[in-house]
Amino acid sequence: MILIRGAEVYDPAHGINGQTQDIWVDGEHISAAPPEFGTPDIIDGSGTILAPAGVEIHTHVAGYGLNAARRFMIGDPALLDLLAPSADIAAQHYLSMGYTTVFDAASSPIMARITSNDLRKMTGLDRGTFTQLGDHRLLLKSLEGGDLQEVYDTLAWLLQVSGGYAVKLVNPGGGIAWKSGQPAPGLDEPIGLGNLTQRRIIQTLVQIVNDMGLPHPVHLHAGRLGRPGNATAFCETVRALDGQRAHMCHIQFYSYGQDEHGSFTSAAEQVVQCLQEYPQITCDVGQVLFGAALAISYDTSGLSDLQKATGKPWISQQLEGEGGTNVLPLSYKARDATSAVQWATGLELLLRFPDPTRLFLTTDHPNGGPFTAYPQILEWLMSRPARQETLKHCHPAGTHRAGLAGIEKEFSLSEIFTMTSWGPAKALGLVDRGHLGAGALADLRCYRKQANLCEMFAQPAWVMRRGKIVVKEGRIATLDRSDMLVVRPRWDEGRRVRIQAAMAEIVSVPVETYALGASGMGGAEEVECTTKLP
Amino acid sequence: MRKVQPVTCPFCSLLCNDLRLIFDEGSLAAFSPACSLGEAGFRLAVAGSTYEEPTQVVQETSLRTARTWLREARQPLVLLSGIVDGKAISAAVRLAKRFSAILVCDEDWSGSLLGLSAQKAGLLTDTLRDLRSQALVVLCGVDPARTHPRLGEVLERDLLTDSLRLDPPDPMEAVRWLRVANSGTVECLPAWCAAANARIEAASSGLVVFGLDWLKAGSPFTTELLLWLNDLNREKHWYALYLAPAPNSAGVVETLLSETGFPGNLRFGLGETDFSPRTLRAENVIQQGGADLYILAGQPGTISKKTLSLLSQSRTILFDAERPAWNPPIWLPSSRAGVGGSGRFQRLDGVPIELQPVLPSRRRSMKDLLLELADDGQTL
Repeated sequence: MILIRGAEVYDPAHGINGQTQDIWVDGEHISAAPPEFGTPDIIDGSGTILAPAGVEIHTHVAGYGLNAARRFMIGDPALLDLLAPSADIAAQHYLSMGYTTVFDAASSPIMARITSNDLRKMTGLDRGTFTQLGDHRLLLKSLEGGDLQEVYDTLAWLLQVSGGYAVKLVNPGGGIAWKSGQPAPGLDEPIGLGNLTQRRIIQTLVQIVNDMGLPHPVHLHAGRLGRPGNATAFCETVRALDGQRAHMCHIQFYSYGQDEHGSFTSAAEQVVQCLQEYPQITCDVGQVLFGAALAISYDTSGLSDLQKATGKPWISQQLEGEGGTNVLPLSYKARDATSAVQWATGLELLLRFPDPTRLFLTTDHPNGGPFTAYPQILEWLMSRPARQETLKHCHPAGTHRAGLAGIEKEFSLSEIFTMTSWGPAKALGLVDRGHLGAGALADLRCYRKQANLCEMFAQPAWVMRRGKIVVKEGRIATLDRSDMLVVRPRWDEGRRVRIQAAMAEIVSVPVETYALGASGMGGAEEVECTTKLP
Repeated sequence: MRKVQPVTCPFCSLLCNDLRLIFDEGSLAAFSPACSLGEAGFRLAVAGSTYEEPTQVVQETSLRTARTWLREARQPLVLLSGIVDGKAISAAVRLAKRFSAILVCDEDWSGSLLGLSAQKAGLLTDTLRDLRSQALVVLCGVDPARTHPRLGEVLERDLLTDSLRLDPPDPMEAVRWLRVANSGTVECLPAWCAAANARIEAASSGLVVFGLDWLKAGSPFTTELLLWLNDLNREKHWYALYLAPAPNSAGVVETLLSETGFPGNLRFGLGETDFSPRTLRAENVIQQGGADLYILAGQPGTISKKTLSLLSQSRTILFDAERPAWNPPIWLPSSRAGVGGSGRFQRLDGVPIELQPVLPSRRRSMKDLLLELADDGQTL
């Protein structure tokens, strides 16, 4: 038994907001105070803040795109370490910041082995990946055919063979349209596969995933990413969900208005108002930071447009039977009007959104900037003077074309820990973490209280995972066994032969070895699905 | 008795999986569908499998010598060729880290840096199946019918028009003319360039295929090539495909990037990794005597005869399935992935393919041999 005594405890899930109280750890779990406890190991928590460990809901730290990205940074080890570190180093960075659960945001089935290899290297963390199916020809063909049972089974099979935790849809159908030379389709335009539209793909797959009872709903990267005036299209997509449960990712990149010159403005207020009408939708922000970044995305049409706009070289690897994976180096500059508006828009969204159990902190690493900059973002959220100081150095558009300057709100620690632990854990269906209730995993972070918030969040005094101290004063103490999180939805396995035969018509790799094939995800912890067959 | 054995062919980077070896009374009777390269490779492997293997004693003696050399080496160099499979690469990285070695990829100056910088310049690669939808394929100094026969067959048979072949004596001059022609600013063009450009301009989409020979012209040439391809890609969908010379050229680079963050040209020190693409090139290091032990994982494909001669006079250990034509001091025969052993290669378009043994082999895998050296005889 371990007794953590005297810390200011934050457990938003249970309404504990900085009270000093004892926390008991029994083995790998939090426990209630035992009636008799002999001589527990005591950790002195006086002068510290204790909270559940962080849960990362959207980052890019594994898979083919990262390798492609590394080619842009050959010869610059510092930039490499910042934006595209190897998977094991990324895991250590996360752990040392107090995060013990991390989800890679997208992996296509055909490249699942590369992602799986990377995830295996991330020891010390619980981790998983979302399977990108937005341009999967087999799935979309079955959807176009209209047999929902077939769509259900195909989707379940794809998740299973890819080792995915959830379904990711990236600008659904956009990759197929792009490959055939068509412009990115709007919500109701055909994508080039019969009469199939993005609206139908989204509505049907969101419904099926919710029917499957997957712990995390569809993780949706909408169309029109990063374009001025895209907030209206984004809100239309949100409304197209018809009140179904879904997660909208990196919404900062969809929260733009447009002034009379066609320039970017913040539409954070409009997006927040829209999202407030749909309490079953969760989001992450995709905050932008000033400095180097990398766009890594399966959104070929989005990145193709961005590449043409920036004129910068990119890598676009098209995949068989799917869309493509793309990498484009970016740079956000404080003195650049668009960058300043993007930076202000992200913070404005976080500060305006009233419910931190529904909007989470991410940078869409490395798209908006490195995840290692979270402490800086937390300081901006908790200190108006800190963000005003940064705003002073920004292009005036950051002040005049966004509402950030007028917002006085400052986040409380409780809101911070909700947004980085309990909220994302709940959205991911991981009810065993993100809180300090009896029976929860003993994944904790402890900060020494200090005035400099950025420094405080950058270096926890210690991090505990499964009841063991894994980080002490910023240094990794131990890297223990950890889980890969996958789902295994129930489905009609009798259809496997038929699905595999259809798949064999689409890809040239042997279908038995498609995705992870028989290699599977060794050591994976399966997360329960509350499956109900349609 | 007739036996049909389905195979994934490991002899070029297409890694075709629809092939069958047909054995009659134990000997290889046919290879279907026809592919000259795959058939020759498997016939050689089948014949080789009947050779007398080096005795266990010879293998053990060689390994013992290799261990001694490794312990004594002040600066080992590990050179990975494009036929090494993913697991052997990981083992080689482990060995290089353990002994503070230089780690170089045979493809470093072509497949990894220059070849891949084609993509870096804004170009695209496409899958082989989608190739059929391209309006035009331009072959720049490559002959897929020879190096990647099944691809050559697709180009001959399935394209809407004949592919355009560019084999000028001076690739640099040719690419400069093509860039000029594409810009439309010069009317007086050489006849071949005007004709080529007319077809390129008329095509609604296309694929430019280039290989090692064009990239050998060096960095200024590559820049010209990339600029031309970038221009093509401005208005229409043009893809670029680097036709890697070895079957796992792409996989070696991908694995190195994933394991180390770099595509090769590395020196591992105590907790430090030095990356130097110019200094740490295999040919440079060998010719300058920059290492005192050379571990070659796979027969290097791009090393000159002069350098091979230097290697045969130095402490050199070669791991390869085939007996080399030159004379390394130690040759440790290993099983070949996809023939006598298993492994993972990466296809041209980046898709990882698992290879299974199709012929019996008593040889150990390159991964096991490298790990044994890395762990210096400890239990694996």
